[in-house]
Amino acid sequence: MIKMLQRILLVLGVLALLGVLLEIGVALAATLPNGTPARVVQVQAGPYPLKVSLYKDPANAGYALPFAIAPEQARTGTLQFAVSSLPGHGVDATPIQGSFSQDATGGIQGVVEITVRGTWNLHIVVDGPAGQGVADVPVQAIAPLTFPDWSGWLIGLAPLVGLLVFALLQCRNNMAVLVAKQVSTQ
Amino acid sequence: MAQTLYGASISEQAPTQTRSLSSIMNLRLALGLSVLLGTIIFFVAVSWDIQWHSYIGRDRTLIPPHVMILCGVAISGLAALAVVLIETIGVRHAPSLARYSSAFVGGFSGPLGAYIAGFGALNTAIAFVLDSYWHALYGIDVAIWAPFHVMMLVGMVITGLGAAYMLVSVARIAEQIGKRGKMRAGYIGACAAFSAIITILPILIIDSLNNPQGYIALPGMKLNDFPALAGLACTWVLVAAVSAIPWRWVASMVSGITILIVLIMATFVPWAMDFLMAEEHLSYRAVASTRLDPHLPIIAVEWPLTATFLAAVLIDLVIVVARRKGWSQRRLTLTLACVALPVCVPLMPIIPGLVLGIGQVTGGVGLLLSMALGLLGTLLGSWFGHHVGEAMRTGR
Repeated sequence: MIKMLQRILLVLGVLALLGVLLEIGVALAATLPNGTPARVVQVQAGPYPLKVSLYKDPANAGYALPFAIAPEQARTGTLQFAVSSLPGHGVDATPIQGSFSQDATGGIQGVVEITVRGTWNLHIVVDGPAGQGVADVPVQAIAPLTFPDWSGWLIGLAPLVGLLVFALLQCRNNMAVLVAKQVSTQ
Repeated sequence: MAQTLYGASISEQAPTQTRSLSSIMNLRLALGLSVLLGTIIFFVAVSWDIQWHSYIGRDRTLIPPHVMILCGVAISGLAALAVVLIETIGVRHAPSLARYSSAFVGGFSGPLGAYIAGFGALNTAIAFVLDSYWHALYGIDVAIWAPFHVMMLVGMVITGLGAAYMLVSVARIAEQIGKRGKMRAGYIGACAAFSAIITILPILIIDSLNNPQGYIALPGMKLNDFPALAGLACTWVLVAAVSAIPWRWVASMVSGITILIVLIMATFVPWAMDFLMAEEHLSYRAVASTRLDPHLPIIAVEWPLTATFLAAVLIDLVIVVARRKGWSQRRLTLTLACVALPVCVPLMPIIPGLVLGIGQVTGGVGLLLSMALGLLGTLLGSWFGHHVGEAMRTGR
């Protein structure tokens, strides 16, 4: 019986560990642009027309969203970019700065994180020879996994229950040892 | 009279066996301390994370405090896994060592503490992943009493408990084979493991003071959860420590090490905040103006278990008297529950009169009943603590 319980615990533990490793792999994979963009948007950031490519649409909340921004006009000077994700109205989140690198065409490629499901804006600020320009690209984020409040608590309290059961078993074993000692001394 | 360890007479043990036992002891000491280090890193990282969330806001999943949390969990989990794998190999080469280990699924051998620590670290790792989903669903400003925050913190309390089990087993082996230095290292490490558990407890129960969920509404009055939760958890840990470690002033030592860990955290967190904010060109949130000075570490100045230090000294005094006068276990358990009552009084360094504020919400009768629940908590904690400590002292 105890060995069977131990086997179940071992299998659950190995599965959980594999799940954690898989999740880490998925989170890392999400930071890489995968082939063709899922959505391409033309925007005007002040005097600069830009082509914004989003590699996941809708975005997955809790994961990085890969993007690329390319200037649509011939370059007359270097453009400096600042990209962040801004939560829309009613989304309980804070703005997050994106990280990116400049490519040879004068555009950028990078990732920005979308932390909470709902409506967000990809906020782009461009500085160049013609001054500063700003553009916002709306992004919809969905949660990849949904579970209700009660199921969260059911899972979340499992280790606490495990701790209490373990402590009770330790008490039972300890009392059994004490009883055995008393019997042997008598 | 020959000394015995796990039922085997030391005088019967061949020199090779003693050497193998010495290797097991060294392995458990090194990896037990690693599990402990991971737990302390986790506490410091969570304190930094709370500071970050309060004054900057939760942004990316892998912000530096989260990375540090994961490092602490990984150190603890991998150390626990390593001790089981190495001891399993050791027992296969020398089957007579099996009596010093706990078997698992027939094929694995290791100290009970390593299984406990591994279970705790795995829970915390799972909780971290699920917590990201939870934030993605429900937003960033969820309370500490959210399902996967609780799971994460309880996971690391379990990991700290595993470290205590491992280090007590080290001290016991060392005591029996006459390695006094290793015995001291084991017991001091175990004290530090109990301290690491105590450092995580305030984070786990602070919402009973800050959150409406911390109050139970009854007709005509309200009860507060803090006395019962603090009474149960702190008494459990302190009494387990004095039962597992056969020294004097163990609870005071646990409290002293707790203060030391909190001071390390309080030194690290403001420095880490300033450094990273400068690196990432961030600024404090507007909400910061309504809170404390952002350079004060929240967890240190809002530490609600300040009265635990007084309870620890009282527990030690009772243990001294009980040993001298040969009290029965029942009398000792009841007395420890009574002298541990100060832990039920929420006392923060910056708000010494916090209990009066709670009294205004609960009313006088509600406050008295909350304290009565606290006494029930210390009673249960004293009973659990005694048995867990004894099991730790006599187990593998």
